[in-house]
Amino acid sequence: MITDAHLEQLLRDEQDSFGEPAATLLDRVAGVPVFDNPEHVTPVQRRRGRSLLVGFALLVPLVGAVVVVAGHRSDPAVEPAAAPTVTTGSIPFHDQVIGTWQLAGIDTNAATYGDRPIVRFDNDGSWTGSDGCNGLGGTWRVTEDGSFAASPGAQTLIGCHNVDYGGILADAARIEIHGDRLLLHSRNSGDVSTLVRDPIALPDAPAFGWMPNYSFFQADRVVTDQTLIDRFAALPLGANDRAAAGNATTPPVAWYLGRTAGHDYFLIVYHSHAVCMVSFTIQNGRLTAAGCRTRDAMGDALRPLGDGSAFLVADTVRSIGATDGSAARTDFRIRDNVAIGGPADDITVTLADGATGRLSSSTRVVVPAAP
Amino acid sequence: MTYTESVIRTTGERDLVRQALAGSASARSELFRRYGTNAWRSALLVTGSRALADDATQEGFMAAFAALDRFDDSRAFGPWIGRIVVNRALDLARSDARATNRAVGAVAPDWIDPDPAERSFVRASLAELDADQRAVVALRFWLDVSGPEIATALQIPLGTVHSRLARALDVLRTTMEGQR
Repeated sequence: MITDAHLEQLLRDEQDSFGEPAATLLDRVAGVPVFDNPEHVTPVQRRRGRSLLVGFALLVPLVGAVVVVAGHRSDPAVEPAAAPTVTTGSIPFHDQVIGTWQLAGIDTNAATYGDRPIVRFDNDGSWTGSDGCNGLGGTWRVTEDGSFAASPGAQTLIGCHNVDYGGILADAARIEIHGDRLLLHSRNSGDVSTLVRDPIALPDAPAFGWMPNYSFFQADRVVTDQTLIDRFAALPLGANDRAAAGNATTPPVAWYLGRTAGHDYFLIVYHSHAVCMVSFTIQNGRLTAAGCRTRDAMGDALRPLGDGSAFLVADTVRSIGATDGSAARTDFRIRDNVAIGGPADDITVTLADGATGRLSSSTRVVVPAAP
Repeated sequence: MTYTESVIRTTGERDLVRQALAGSASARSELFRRYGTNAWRSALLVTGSRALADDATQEGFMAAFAALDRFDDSRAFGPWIGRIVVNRALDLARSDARATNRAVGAVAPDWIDPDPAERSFVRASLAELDADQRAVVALRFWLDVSGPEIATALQIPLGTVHSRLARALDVLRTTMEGQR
């Protein structure tokens, strides 16, 4: 007599003998994400003639006065467009808008700006940004036929070079998205303003997984503190990450290390408390992957190494030299992607191909507490 | 394994779901890596066809990823995706049977050895079940889905779940004992 327990065990054991699905099934299921699949992208309406850059006229230098630039002008290359067709299974328009944008044609890193003039649309219907020196924000919404509405929030405007994102957004009645371009059609004048994805937030990303090779190293091309904070704010940190950030008595600090093909690396150092490296991919302005390991998660790998500063590094990192306040040079020990060293104000990172980048204390920011 | 792969593979299930919801392809891949095989095996058991199992798994996962915002992340992901895939497998098995004008399960499943001498007695017993019974067996014993959740997934009363499962076990037991 086969008992119920024996029968159940026989059935469970049989499961393993059913084999594995073909490896290609993984590609079918997960390797072609919806938003990576051209078939699912809102059709791009091709334009004749030159590109759609608009916006050089938007920069009006004014000093010492409250400035709101009129915003935008018509681009003769932009024909009035029908509302975009959204195909079944396409990315919702709302999702396509989410991300960080900047007005086309401006150099957001120009010294004339106190802050990078960018605008970021968040999933919760809020938008934030900077006109170059003033923080901006408000709410936004878009329907699947491209109808757009945005309201600017309260702003304190000081004189500087301004990009009037608030005015542009509030005046927009309809939008189109063409790849990395967001066209805003004025409700009053018929003018079209063009935003482009923020290039700093737009590395090329692999379809999925991690590509260990890197296209360039830009540790010296440091993003601003605000950009870094923005990026962290966008990270879907896990419970361990939040606990580490919240429990550390010493504020964690982060260095912007650089970026490989499709990935930005941040070294986050929780002095003597936790260690974490966040590696994430931004694709089409949206965070698509993030990973973080705390010092606790590293367990025995870190324990024998004492209580010095430690952080995880990409496996493209060959060595890290550090200088503390006394200018004494101390090389970090790197083992299993963990770099161990004392607190340092100056770090030089050498990657596998010999490229080096210097991370100075000016690139260090305090990671904001998790919301 | 790359560093990032090692990170994603140690990520908790709830965080994986959250990242997948945010559009992370890596997180979706990892969810499939963790739960795809069991779901696929269950679909194969139900449909008897590797091709249909592939389709059911693909369609089930894609549907699940599209509906992640409705997933209660206080629950386990495995049984949830298993329910979706098995349900899809049942649909495909029925559709295939209609298209070929055959009864569901009338064709020998891919997982049964054509040579009776080579068949495992467990598989030979499973082949005696109809698709509905296989679905209940797969959900309960391979995917650890509870009775009430099976009832919800298959849209049948809980009593029917119990009776179907009991009947399936009776068939299995009888067949196995007859083969011994």
